[in-house]
Amino acid sequence: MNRRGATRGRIAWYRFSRGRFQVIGLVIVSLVSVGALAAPLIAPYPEHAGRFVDVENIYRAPDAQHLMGTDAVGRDVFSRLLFAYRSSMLLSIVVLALAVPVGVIVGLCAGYLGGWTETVAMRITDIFLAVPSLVLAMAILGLFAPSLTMTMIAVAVGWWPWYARLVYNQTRSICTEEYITAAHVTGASATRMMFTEILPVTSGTVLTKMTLDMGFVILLGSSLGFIGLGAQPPTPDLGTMVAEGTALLPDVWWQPVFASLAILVVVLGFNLLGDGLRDLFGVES
Amino acid sequence: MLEIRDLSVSFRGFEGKARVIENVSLEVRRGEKVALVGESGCGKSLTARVVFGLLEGGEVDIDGRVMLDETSLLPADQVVWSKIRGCRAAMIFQDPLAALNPVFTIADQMRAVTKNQPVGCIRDMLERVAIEDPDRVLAAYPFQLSGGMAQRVLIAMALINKPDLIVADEPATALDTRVQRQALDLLVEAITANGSSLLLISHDLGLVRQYTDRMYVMYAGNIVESGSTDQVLGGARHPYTQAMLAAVPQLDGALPKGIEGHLPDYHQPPPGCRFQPRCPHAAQECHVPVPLRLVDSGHEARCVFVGSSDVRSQRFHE
Amino acid sequence: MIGLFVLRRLGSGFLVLIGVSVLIFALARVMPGDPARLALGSSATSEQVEALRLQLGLNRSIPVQYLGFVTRAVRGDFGISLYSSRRVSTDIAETFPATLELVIVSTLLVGVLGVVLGVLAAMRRGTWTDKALQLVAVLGVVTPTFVWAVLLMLLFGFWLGWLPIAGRLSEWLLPPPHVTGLFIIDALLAGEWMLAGDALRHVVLPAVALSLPALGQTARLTRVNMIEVQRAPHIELMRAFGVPERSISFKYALRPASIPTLTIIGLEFVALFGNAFLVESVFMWPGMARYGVQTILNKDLNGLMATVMVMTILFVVVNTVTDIVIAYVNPRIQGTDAV
Repeated sequence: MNRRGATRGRIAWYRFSRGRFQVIGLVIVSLVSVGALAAPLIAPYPEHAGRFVDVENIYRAPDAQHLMGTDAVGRDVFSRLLFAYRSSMLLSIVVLALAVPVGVIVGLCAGYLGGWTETVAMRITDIFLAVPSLVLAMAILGLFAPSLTMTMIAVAVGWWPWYARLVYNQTRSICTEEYITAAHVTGASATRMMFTEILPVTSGTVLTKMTLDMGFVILLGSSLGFIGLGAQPPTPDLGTMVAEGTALLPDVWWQPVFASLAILVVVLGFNLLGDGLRDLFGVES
Repeated sequence: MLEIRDLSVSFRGFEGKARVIENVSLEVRRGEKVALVGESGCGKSLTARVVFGLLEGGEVDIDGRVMLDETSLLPADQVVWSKIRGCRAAMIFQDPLAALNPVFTIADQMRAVTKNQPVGCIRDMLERVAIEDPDRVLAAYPFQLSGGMAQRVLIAMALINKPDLIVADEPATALDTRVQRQALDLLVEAITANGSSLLLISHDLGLVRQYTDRMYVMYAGNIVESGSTDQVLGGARHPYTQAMLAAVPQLDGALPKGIEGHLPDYHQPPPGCRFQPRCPHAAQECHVPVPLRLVDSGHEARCVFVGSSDVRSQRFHE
Repeated sequence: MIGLFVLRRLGSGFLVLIGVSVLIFALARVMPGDPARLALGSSATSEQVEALRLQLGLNRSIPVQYLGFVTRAVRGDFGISLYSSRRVSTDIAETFPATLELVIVSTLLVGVLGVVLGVLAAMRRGTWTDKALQLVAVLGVVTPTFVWAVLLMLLFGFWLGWLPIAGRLSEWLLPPPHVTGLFIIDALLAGEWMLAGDALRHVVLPAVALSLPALGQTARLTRVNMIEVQRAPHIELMRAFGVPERSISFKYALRPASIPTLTIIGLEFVALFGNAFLVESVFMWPGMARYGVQTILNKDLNGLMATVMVMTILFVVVNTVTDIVIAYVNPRIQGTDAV
């Protein structure tokens, strides 16, 4: 009922903005994105993200010149974190750009077309789901040389089946609805059916999951970085930066602490945002 | 024995305060069968829930008094509720299959609601509601039952502790006609046998005529007419009741007349009579709150034209 | 009916197993570089490399190699580890129980504590307790496992000194007689309470660190489901009949609400195995996950494939059990007839 003449968009925004946490999530994600995008411009010491050694300045505690201190070779931690955010965001975007289309299409086809397509597609999905994403990613990275690019591929390979399963389940339940039979009777082709009828209905769930996954991919990426299977030095990596500083705790505390906080904050942001979207779309778990 | 006095319920939502029930008073005496009638959204189910204290949450404001004999149900606390619910008063819910927990057997659920009754009484009660194979039903899950059977289970649940008052919220809406009659016959039979009272909430005037002694008509959160069932159905005086009766399909094949318009916005209800916007007789006097006015002994209606010799209102009367 | 259900589940599980073995095998063969040369290093002569290739059977065609792999695997022979120079099956037999113990304790924490906290938060909805629990749950989910591991180690290990931070047992103690390989259980079976207590103290920190993300997720999921179920008509009915609130929450609302959680437990268990190595590294836990990482870093194919296969078998077993439990709890799936 449009009693107040409000458009659906405005109502959606109203409901969204009522939740303090969702807005906080949006703010965090925006800040991190801007920070990552503009890293070369806003980082105080952009050259520290590459090969740089300054023996005079190693292990400086946080002060006015170095907001988060310096690391084992004198590089500014804050600048490196900004660049690390860059790699992490890039990782998430690429992984999802690869995994989501593949997963969604597989799920749609399996759910709608049924028969052999369904059996084969879901078996393959099950197989990939059988191995934990971290293990699969580690295996791939271990066998091929680790780098940011390989990490993207390795994680994407483990990620797509979740979308396939999600979309498959939804497609199956939608297919029992009558409006699908009705559209079918009008002679719509399979492709048209899948993309114009079913896909929009699943888009809410998929979008919510994508938002949450942005954070979780970063989490996975940092775990890989922790063991050294992420972006290789001297490229900054969130997980690696935590690992580097761990041995010296608790005296030289700033690098692992700030790197951990950096990971926490960005994942939290995407999580809050994703939860807000979930409430908005009225999605079942 | 059940007395509701000046009940008002409002919800605070993101569009403001919705006054969904305003100054509702009704009573059910011992052994009586009373109907609360109205269209969907008029607040009758909410009224039932207030009796059982089921309206909770920070966004609800409830005012008024509810008494069950000597016990105050509003205001009340958890201790009072635990003594009343299921024992002295029981409720029959609207959609029987939704009202049963899908992952527990009927036996589990009936045992959960039975208080201090002798062994075997669950099985007996199922037989009393005309369930032929009680053992099979007891072992079954709700999804294995038909609507009619599930409704009979709900009736059995309501009766099992021999309550003084039964509130039936649209007990037959989810069933088809034949099954409806069966279910209600059973219910009323058991109630009469126990000497209990019944508050029947429904929008089905046929059921009301058949099973109840007195009735209240509710519109948009107000009681607009009350009296014995014969009085109200035979000689309705409030324009809404009259329109409602005119909307019932007749056997002579003439098309029923619907009522134009829709329920008011509870956030900004019309001042005074809430039926104004849809009433063919609306006049200046309707803009202020209208009290219930006496039509006859025991028959009241909330309309300014009641009790006057206004020709317009009498012309609408059949 | 249940029997058929179980058989079907096991059947599909078996297919998954085959599929994973093919996948891993294919991955290993696609890897660049010659496995034999990699193993021997660049200083080896061509003859040595060739000899090793023959020994490993690398000169035969891929399908034949795969077949060989499978037949040997079924007999429990996974070859020799290039990393430890011992039989892989021995390595795994030694390290697997350690990880299993860790993951079992973690899963218990996730399943029990997660659900209880979720129900509590739902019951006290809107109060400070609820908000605090939600905050803890969210922090658990968004913080990486290794951060928790390091944090717990510092806090309880170094600063407070309450709990040990390395290994499964204190250095001066000997492991209990081997029955299951799970020290706590074996110690209890042998009646050695002190030993069991010591093993328990050693497993606490790693298990907590490992379980936190999943625990947070479970708590949140349970909370949301509980709140939703609380609004259902059948719960309202229970309340209208005076069933005590505690019964409603922990019995009548919990069962339908826990179904989505149960569905995920199987996947959580496997995910815990995956994350286990992060915790095993920090706490020097001699488990299979850490072993698995070493095989990867050292390009030890035999070790790697064996580790993955073991994990897959575990996954299939856990999922089958979970599916059965869900079918018990949600009778609709059993396919019984109408009354």
